[in-house]
Amino acid sequence: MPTNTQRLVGALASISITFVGAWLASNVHSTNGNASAATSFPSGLTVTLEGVRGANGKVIVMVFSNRNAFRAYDVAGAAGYKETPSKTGTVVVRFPDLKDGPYAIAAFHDEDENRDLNMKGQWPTEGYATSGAADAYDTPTFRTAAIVGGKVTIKMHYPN
Amino acid sequence: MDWLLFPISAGYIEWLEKFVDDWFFIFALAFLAFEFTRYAIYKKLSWALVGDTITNYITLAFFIGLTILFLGAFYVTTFYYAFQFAIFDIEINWITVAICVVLADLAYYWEHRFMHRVNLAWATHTVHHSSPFFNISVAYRFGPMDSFWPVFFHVPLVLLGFNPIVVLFAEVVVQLYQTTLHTESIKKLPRPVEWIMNTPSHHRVHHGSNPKYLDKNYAGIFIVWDRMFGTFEEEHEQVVYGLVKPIESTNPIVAFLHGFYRLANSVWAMRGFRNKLGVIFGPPGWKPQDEARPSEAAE
Repeated sequence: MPTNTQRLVGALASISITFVGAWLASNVHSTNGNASAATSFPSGLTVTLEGVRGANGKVIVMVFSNRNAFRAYDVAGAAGYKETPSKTGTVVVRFPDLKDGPYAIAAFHDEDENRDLNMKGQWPTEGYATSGAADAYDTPTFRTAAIVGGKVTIKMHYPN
Repeated sequence: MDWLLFPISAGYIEWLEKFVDDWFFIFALAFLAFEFTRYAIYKKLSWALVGDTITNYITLAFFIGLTILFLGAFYVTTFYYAFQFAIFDIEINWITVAICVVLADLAYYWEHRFMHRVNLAWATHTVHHSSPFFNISVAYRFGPMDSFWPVFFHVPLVLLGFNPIVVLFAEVVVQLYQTTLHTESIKKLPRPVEWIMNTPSHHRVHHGSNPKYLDKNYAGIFIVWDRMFGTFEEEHEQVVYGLVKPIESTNPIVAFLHGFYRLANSVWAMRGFRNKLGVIFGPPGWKPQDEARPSEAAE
């Protein structure tokens, strides 16, 4: 039977191992990391959204230059924000003033124009898109999502 | 070795998790057929064994039903809620997945220890230990809340920045590794393996009701956690499988619910509110101090 000291030391050791392990993992970067490439584009940023379903409501595009705002989907911390009337197919949104990346982009199809991505629990009920995401379930890190160059194409994902 | 750092999408990990989990189930059935052949050769086949095996899969069906209805959604919701507060940004590639598996194995050690040493959690985990047999079908014998407690021990990994799907995948890897250990057909593996890894021998000890084997070898993949944290025991004497107080039934409802039934009975029988809490949150066999040490109480 372990003593209380053993229990405490074991728990503290485990917490430390877990924290250090996660920190190490956060420093392991995949080979196609984009953020280190050239991030300046004089003619501004152009975001092309593919797979938009329906002309109802608006498409809202947010551009983030900062990791915390990107993670939190925080409009106040966004470098760029635009609402564009929706149309079926492809929607192009330009940000001529955004010239210095890296930028990560999050967009959603605001069908009911409440300026919010509607959720049911933790899952969106409106279409959404994130730069660098491989599929609908992907939640890329800022480093993966931060695109290179002035033109980026992102696919919209709808919940059903 | 470039492939170790190729980016992996969360969707691929999710697909892989299902793929591995499903094919493993088929492998386990094939292995069970081998185990039954072995039982037949050793003349150990009995109706009790057949009934117990069927009961194992019926508890699995109950468990899957409850998980689909309630606990799965709770799991996913908790993980994705926690993920927005993640401290680190951790990309998905085979290196980070491997790190996650090791850390999930450590988390599993504590989860498993908790499930043995806190009665409320033992009420569900006792189901897994209530079989008097030891073969791969026992690994699929689950209790009603077996997918509830792991959430709390693995959500720290999500809070640290591992993608929820990667953490779920890591949990499946740990679980499946341990599933393979439920066999009497492998005696001992080479010494270095027995020293570092959890093995059938170590896990037989974990399933023993022998006094010296109780509350030992909680490991999933790496036995080193038990060696580090003082809960390791080597297999020497013959293991007597099952509970200290056996359920003596192959009825799947009895097997699935006996833990909560026993817990409710002990709480009901215990006098005093504080003592009732002691029964719920204390380890199995918990007694108020004055009863546990009658000599002191007499003073």
